[in-house]
Amino acid sequence: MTLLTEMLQRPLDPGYAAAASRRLAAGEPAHTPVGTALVTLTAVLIGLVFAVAASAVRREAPRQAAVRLDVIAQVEQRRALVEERSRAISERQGEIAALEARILGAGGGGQIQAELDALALASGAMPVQGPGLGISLADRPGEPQAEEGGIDQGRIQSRDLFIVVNALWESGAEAIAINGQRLTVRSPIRFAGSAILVNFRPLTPPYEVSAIGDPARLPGRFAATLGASYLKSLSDNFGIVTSIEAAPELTLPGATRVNVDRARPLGGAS
Amino acid sequence: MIPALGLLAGIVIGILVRPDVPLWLQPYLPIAVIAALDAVFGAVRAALDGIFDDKVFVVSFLSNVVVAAFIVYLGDQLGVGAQLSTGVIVVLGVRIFSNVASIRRHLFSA
Repeated sequence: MTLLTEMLQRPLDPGYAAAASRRLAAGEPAHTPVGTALVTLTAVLIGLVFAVAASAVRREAPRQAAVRLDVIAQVEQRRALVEERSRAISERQGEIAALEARILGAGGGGQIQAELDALALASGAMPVQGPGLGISLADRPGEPQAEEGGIDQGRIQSRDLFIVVNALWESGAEAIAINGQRLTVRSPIRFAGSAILVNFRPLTPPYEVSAIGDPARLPGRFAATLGASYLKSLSDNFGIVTSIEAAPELTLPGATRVNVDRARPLGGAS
Repeated sequence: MIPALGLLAGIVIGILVRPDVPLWLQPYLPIAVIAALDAVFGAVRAALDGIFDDKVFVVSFLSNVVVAAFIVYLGDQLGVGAQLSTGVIVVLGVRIFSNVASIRRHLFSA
C-alpha cells in the first residue's frame, strides 16, 4: 500500500519543487531564452508523437477491417460453394438412381432394384418421409455467460446432441436428421471451437432433431430413456430451451456421403 | 503560451508529413504517447503551482519516454512485453489522473 499512497499523494516529480527552491536560493530567473526554446522544442516533439501515433492507429484500423471483411467474404463464398456442390451431389444421386432403375427395369432385374431401394433406405442414402418426433434444442436466451472453465453452460454442446440422438435410436427411430443433415452410420457429431459439426458441416442453433419412427411407440419409448430426463435437466438447470413434439409427417433428406472406402465384405476377392 | 503553440505546431507537422512508422517502433508508440501525456500534465500542474522549470520539463519528458520504452523493450525480450506495457500504462495513468485532479482543483477550485 505504501507504493499506492506514494503514487497518489505525490504524483508530481519532486524535481519541480527541488528545482524551484534551488532557483529561489540562487536567485536565478524562472525563464531563460534557452530554456524556453528547449521547452518549445520538446512541445513540438510531443505534438509530433501524438500526431504520428494517431495517424498510425488510424491507418491500421481500416486495414484490419478490410482483412476481416475479406475473410468473411471468403467464408461465405466457400459456404455457398459447399451448398451448391451438395445440391449437385443430390441431383446426381437422383439421376443415378433413375438410370439404375431404367437399366434394371429393362433387364428384368426387378428384384435387384427392390434390394437396392431397401439398402438405400436403410443406409440413409435416400430421402425419406414418415411420421415421427421433432425435438428442438436452443441455447439459453440472453447474453452468453462464460462460467467455470470458460464454458457457457447455457450453450448446447455436441454431447447433448449425442445423448438425444442415441436415445432416439434406442427408442426405435428409423431415420434421424439434425437441421437437415441426415445421420448415417458414418455421421460424426463433433464440437469444433464453439460450433457443432454434423457430417463435417457446421450447424447454427436452434438444433432441430427430426426422427422418423412408429408414432404409437416412439414418443413413449423416448420419454422412458435417459435422453428425455437429460433434456429435462438441461432446461431445468441451464435454461436451455427444449421441446419435444410428435410430428405427423416429416421429410428427411438423403445423406450426401454413404460410400465405404476400405471396408470389404468378409471373404470377398476385393 | 509558446509551448502550447509548439504542441499545436508539432501536431500539425505530424498530420501534414505523415511519417511512416517502422514496424519495430510501433509497439512503443502508445507507451510514448502515455509518457508524453504524463510529462505534459505534470508540466501544466507545475506551472499552475508556480514552480515550472524548463530543464525539469525537458528532462522528465525525455527520461519518461526512454525509461518506458526501455521497460517495454526489456519485457519484449523476456516474453512479458504485454504485461510490462500494462504496468507502465497503469503507473503513468495513475500519475496523469492525479495531476489532472490537481489541475482541476487549481482551475475550478472543485
